[in-house]
Amino acid sequence: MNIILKDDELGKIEKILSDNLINSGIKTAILIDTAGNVITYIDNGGYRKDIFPLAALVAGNFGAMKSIASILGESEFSLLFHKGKEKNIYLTRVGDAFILISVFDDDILLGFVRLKIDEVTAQLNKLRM
Amino acid sequence: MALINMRDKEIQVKIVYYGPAMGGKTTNLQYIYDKYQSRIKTEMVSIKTHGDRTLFFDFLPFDMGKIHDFNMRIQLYTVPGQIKYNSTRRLVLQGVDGMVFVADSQAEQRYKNVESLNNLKENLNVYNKDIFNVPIVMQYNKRDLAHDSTPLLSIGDLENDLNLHIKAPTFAASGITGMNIIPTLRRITIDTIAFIEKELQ
Amino acid sequence: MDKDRSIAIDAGEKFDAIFGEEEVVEEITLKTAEKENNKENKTNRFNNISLTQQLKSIILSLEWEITDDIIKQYSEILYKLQDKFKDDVIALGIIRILQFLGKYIQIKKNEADSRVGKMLSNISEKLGWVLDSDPPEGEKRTVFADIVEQYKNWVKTIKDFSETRYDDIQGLPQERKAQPLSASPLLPQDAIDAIIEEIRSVIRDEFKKLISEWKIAQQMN
Repeated sequence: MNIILKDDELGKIEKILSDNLINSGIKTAILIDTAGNVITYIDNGGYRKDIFPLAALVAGNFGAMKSIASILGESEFSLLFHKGKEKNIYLTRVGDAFILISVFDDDILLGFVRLKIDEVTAQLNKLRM
Repeated sequence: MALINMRDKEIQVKIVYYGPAMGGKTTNLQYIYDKYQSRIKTEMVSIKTHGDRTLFFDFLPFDMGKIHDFNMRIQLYTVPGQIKYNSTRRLVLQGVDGMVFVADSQAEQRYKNVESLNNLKENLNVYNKDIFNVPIVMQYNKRDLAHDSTPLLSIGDLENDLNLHIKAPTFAASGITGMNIIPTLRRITIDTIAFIEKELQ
Repeated sequence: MDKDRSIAIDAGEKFDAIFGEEEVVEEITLKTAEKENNKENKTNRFNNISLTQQLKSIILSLEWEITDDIIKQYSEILYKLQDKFKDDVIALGIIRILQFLGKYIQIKKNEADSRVGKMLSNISEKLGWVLDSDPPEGEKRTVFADIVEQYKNWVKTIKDFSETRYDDIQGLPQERKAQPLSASPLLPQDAIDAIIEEIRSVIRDEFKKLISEWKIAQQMN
């Protein structure tokens, strides 16, 4: 079962990301599938050459957390957030098959990131995802 | 499952190297990376333990360029071989498009090879996949140990144990010397791309 | 079948361009046993905690998540602080700014300017310092001046402030007394803009008062 992204779908996804996230304080946003493939991304954080390894690692991380949740009797963890000294990363599921990665630094609070990403996720879910 | 981007004409392909612990999966990728890094121009990511055993996976992506209009991005993964890491192996197998089964030719590993192959079948079933329906290549690794007078399984024995029903293409290989590492990769890459293209039609 | 073969050839050529052509090394294969023909083939808990500590805790909650409930707790604690420290002019000034920031976040939600979160965090930390460490008056004034400056600069950059005043719109608070803030989701956007402008001008006036009192105090020293 391959995932096929049609011509206009990618445009719509990219528009949702850029409309909501440019000037938001979220430096990099990457939409991936659960197997670690990159759908699309916005990168104002200079991670271009690392986007693919990031995607693979996040998919692994996300998958591992899902298994841990399962052991605990949870279907999943709704919030995956890792805090660094200067950079932070926030992971959210979009639909059943996708994950949105947000990278931001200390200029913006997680509370705001969550609000913005909730909005983005809602719009993405309205597409066929 | 391959990710096919119709707008940018790009396909992302996931190939997983599977097999028993210490059989040479990571060595395969390490050899490819060490020898061809300047050509493929990407970095290899490895999540390992302090003892250099694969803990989560190794990851090595490279671009193949355009094939029939589509840019092919190949992503190689290995799984951790130790039995206790089965959940992780299952995770890494998600969305697999093609597999290399790296068997350990040492006689003492005979049972481990079979066990690992059965484990692969089980984990594929979790994703409603079937070992007969996913491109796969058999690699019988560590053939160089023959010079060491380490007891090795013959190719015939390995074929009997592992490839009787699957009938995958096979390569006798050595991760240390590099023998047949690239031909293995070549075969699985071509087979997987051909399989995906066929599914697309 | 031809198309499949051509894809395979194409893929092979592309592969070889990267990795070079390597000969497959054959090993002698012993005859295997007869191959089979068929394939077979998943607080009240807050009772004993100081007000400033409570504020800190609520700010941490806000840093984590922004909900109406947390904003309500935030405004309640500020109101309590306002009551407790009503004789401390500088503290009151800082609290007023914090109240406004809270209201701004509550109304604007995910469209709020993202810098406001960090500002809120920093300013409330300063408030904690003012109230808990009882610093000398001079230091307090300096910190307060910095906060006011920071706040004024930020206000200038917020593009969506309404400049028009709507004194006559029904339901607007007419008195200029400090009021506990409450959620008003049913007010139309105009009225919400007017409330923001109202609070802004209250703060403006109060600051003028504060600053003139401060200047008098300075002259007396």
